[in-house]
Amino acid sequence: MLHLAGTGLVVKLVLCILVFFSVVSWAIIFFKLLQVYRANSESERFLDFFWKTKRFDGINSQLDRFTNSPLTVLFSEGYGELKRLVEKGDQKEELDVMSTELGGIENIARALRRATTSEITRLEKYVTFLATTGSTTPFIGLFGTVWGIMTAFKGIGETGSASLAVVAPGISEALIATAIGLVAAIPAVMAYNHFQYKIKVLIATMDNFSTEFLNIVQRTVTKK
Amino acid sequence: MSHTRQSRDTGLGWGLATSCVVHASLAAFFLLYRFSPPAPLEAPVYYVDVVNLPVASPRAGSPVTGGSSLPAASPPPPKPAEMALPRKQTPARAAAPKKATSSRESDASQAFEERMAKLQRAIDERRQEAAIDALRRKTAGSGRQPERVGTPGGTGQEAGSDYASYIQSRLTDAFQSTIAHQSKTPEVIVKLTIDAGGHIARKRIERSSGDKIFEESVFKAIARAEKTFVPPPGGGEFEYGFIFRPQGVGKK
Repeated sequence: MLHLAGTGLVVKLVLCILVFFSVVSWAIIFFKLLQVYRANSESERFLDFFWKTKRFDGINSQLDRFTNSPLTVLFSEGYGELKRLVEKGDQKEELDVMSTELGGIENIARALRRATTSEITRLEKYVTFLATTGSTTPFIGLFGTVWGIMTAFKGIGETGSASLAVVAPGISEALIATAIGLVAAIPAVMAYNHFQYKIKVLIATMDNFSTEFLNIVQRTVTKK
Repeated sequence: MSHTRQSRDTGLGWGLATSCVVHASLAAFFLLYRFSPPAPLEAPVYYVDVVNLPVASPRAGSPVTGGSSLPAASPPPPKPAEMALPRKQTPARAAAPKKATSSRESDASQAFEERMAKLQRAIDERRQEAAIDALRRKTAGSGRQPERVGTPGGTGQEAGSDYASYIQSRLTDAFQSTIAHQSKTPEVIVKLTIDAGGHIARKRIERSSGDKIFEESVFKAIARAEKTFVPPPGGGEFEYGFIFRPQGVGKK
């Protein structure tokens, strides 16, 4: 790495940018790994708990056990909207049995959609940086290499020596930029694809949960 | 607007810290791997070519002329012997299977061997005579100027030729580090004039190669070699032409 001391200012700047991209993308990878893992595992636990518990108020009181699951947000939003509808109709005593007007179902669906959207936004936060890293860092590295080779050839022209011993070090230094660009890009692209798949699975789980929640509410209303 | 419940996230800070640690570890590992001292191997063996050992100072003689002003007096020694060997063996091998059948051939080869031995003896005698003659002349020169034995300072002509060899050896050394060329076989003839102080008074290209890079490397070599020049013998100016080729520097 010491021979980087001989590189030009532009190549050094390019290397700094690439290192920045690499550090931040790995930070996002670590962060997202934990976030997605927790979201998946706690969502599974929450669904088990949801289907075992028959009462919404009982579920609502235990939401703090599943803080990392996006489904708890959906449930909280749906339950809150349901509660408001019931309170509006002065039917507080009927809340425990989920009694509401049929027209209120639309309100609950909208609340669930809004919660789903906000959770998708939260889950996809920073992932775009990985895509940016994967697509741009090889080009940034390539730019550094081209610039380095240009400088090397200029130096060769000035010294007047065209031997391999003079040409090779400059080109070797310049190629480091491309290498670091690829080192930054490859994990970022792999992580981006992995997180995209995991987030897609979570979105499907949230959609399914929303549908199930609305079904339960509607069944209860029509039963009344 | 109702209060929206949000999932709890830890933030990117710890991820950044972990990433920095990972990158720093990788960089440290890379540096250690790259710049760790290599395992000690066998002690290096150096070979010194004692025969062709270069001589830096002209006072001790030139490496090109071998410290003698009589290079033509000593003929190249091993050539006759080398020539004699294969001729001696080849007919012997070829004749071996036919030994019983042709005795005339073996007689001829014996006569040839004897002739070659005679020639060898004659060459040895001539070489010895030349060496003795050279020694006599050298001794006579040293009687006149004992402090300048083997130097270009003895007589006018001899001094000039030796100093040229010295300059040639300095130019050769400097040219090795500056040589660069574009064309395949460039050749430049430069006439140098060295003043009494050992500095280059004039340099003139007598024949250009058309290869600009080569000519620049020649001038760089001259400038570099100039620092090692000593004043020419006799206290006057010294002028000589040198031929620069990718193979080295020669005298014109």
